[in-house]
Amino acid sequence: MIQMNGVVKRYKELVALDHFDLHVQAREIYGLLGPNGSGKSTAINCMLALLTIQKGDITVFGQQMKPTSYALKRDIGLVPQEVALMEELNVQENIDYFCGLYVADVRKRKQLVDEAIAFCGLEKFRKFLPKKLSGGLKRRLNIACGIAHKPRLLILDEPTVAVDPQSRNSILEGIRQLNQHGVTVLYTSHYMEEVEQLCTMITIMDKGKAILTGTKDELKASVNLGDQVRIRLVNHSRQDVDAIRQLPFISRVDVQEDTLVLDMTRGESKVAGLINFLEQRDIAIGEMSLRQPTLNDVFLEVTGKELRDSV
Amino acid sequence: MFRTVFQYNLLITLRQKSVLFWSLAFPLLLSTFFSMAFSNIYTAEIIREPIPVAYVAPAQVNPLYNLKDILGDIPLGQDGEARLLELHTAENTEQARTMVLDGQVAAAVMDGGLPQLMTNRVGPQQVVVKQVLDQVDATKQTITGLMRQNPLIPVSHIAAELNQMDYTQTASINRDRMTPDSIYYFALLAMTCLGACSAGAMIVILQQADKSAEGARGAISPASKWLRVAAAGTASWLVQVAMSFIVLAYMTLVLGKHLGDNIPYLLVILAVGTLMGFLLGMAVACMVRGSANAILGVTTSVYLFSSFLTGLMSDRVKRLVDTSLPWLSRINPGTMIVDALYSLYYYRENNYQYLISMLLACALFAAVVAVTLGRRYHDSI
Repeated sequence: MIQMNGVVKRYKELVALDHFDLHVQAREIYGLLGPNGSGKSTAINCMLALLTIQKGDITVFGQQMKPTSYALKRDIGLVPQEVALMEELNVQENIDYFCGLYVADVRKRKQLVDEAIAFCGLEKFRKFLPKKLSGGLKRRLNIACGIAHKPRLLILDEPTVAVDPQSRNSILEGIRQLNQHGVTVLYTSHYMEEVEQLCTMITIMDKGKAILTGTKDELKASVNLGDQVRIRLVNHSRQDVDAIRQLPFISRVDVQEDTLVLDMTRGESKVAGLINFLEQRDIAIGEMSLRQPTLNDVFLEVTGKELRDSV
Repeated sequence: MFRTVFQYNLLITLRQKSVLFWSLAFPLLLSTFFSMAFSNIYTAEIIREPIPVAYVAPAQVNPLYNLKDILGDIPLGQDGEARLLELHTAENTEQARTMVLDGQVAAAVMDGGLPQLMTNRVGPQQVVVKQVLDQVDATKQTITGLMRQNPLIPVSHIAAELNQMDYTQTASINRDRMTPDSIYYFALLAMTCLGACSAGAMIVILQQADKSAEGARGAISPASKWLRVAAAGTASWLVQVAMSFIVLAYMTLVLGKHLGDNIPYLLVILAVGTLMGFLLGMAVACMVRGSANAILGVTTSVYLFSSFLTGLMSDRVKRLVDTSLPWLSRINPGTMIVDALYSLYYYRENNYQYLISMLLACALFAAVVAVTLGRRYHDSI
């Protein structure tokens, strides 16, 4: 569906995309995950032939993407990061206006607009101007304007920024439904939880480069991450901590005052083995919590830094 | 698609409060103010109170001609008993001078031979006193001349004839008998036309991907940029033209201001002038790199600077620019519109050179837009 090969984009001295590759198959929900400034929006703008590129090639639907590729554009929908609405038009008029750039037939367009309004839960707000809408509703309207013409490929650039949790869940659910109806989705975000929850394929990018690509399990497997246990021990000695370090299923131990943070190796859960070991040494457990590895852990493992924002 | 973009941009323009204010409400308010300020300027009595004047008697009084009685007898207004000049006797020239400097009187008249007039400033009162003295002296010379020719003519008959005689007739400077204050209304119409530059800039901002998110959304649609710009631009320009026509209709039909009989040609000037202002705004927006606010700021600055140079805020500036920097006057879009409108006042026939200049300027601005908007890729968004 989308092929980006060796794309280089420079803003004077700054290399925004550094031999960037992206391959999106049909009917995927493809996640592009990276911190702010990693090049996600730049990649999308290049993909849509809005920006000049210095190297590489870009094809969409198997054809080279150019500013005059009107036939290709007919099947693409964009939900930009910045809310793009006409402030002087109400909800219904905004959707109709932008849908009108794709669909000329008035009757057909009316039906599409009604469907988009219903899909995004904006029925009660048809006559509202954008300035009267909350942030979450504006985002929904932003999405409605991008999907009304029923595109085959939908690109969403950080659609849930500054959105309340309820609206966010509603947006994510809507995207799943669109995908179930055959729409290919390219979803960019710096919120790992959304990408983990939603996307079938993920590319992690940083500083204009694609660092890792795969499903979330593949990504976690590629850095050999297992569960993480936080445990507060009641009575333990230094020798006990050293012994825990020596356990074969423990890859790393961090001591934070009286709490141990243990990274376990991948595979079946090793928690039972850890508890048995502690019982054998008569070490009482004060508190214990288990966390499965996240994409943030993958990013940290690969780049040495964290994804800067989280939900 | 053209129709959809056109219809919605008509709606968008009509709902933009800034457009409604600067293109419609502001000119209507200002023209109403003009009407109130200039309403009686050619018929009203400028002097409503007697003018205090110091009078110094001549060394020798002429029994046949008493200037003091003549000056003191001039009526104020067409009816009523008040007198135009309130005479204060001064012993001598020095005392009269003191009275003028102290502000006790507006002027001082020293009688004797040719009367002398002393003032320390120029204002309506001083002008009236001088006019009176000139007229008295002219009448005296006329009567004296006639008496020399025919000493038997009674003076009272001559005086009666002179009172009914007009020495000049008012000739209209223009063919349509517009009054001089029409210039101010034309200046306001020129500002209204030039103000369309903001609307032109907004069209570029909303349709260019590197200037707004709305432009980016439009750029990835199958509607070509030229279609969107043409449709949106036509709609916005038509609204601007309609508003200038409404302002003209208000001036002529509601305020009753006579702006000439050549209304069709005036409408053409307004339409072309608005187009020129609109395309100027588009050209500025295409050339300026920066945010939407920066573009609108530059456009407003161009509009204000152009208006200033045409004398729309101070008429002395226009004369200064015309004489000192004539080349600037020729390329200033605001001057082109103002001169085209002023030509209706000053020329007896349609002067098409100004209209042709405006059309050439429109073509130039359109070329700038075509070249710069033609770029399809952007370096950054």
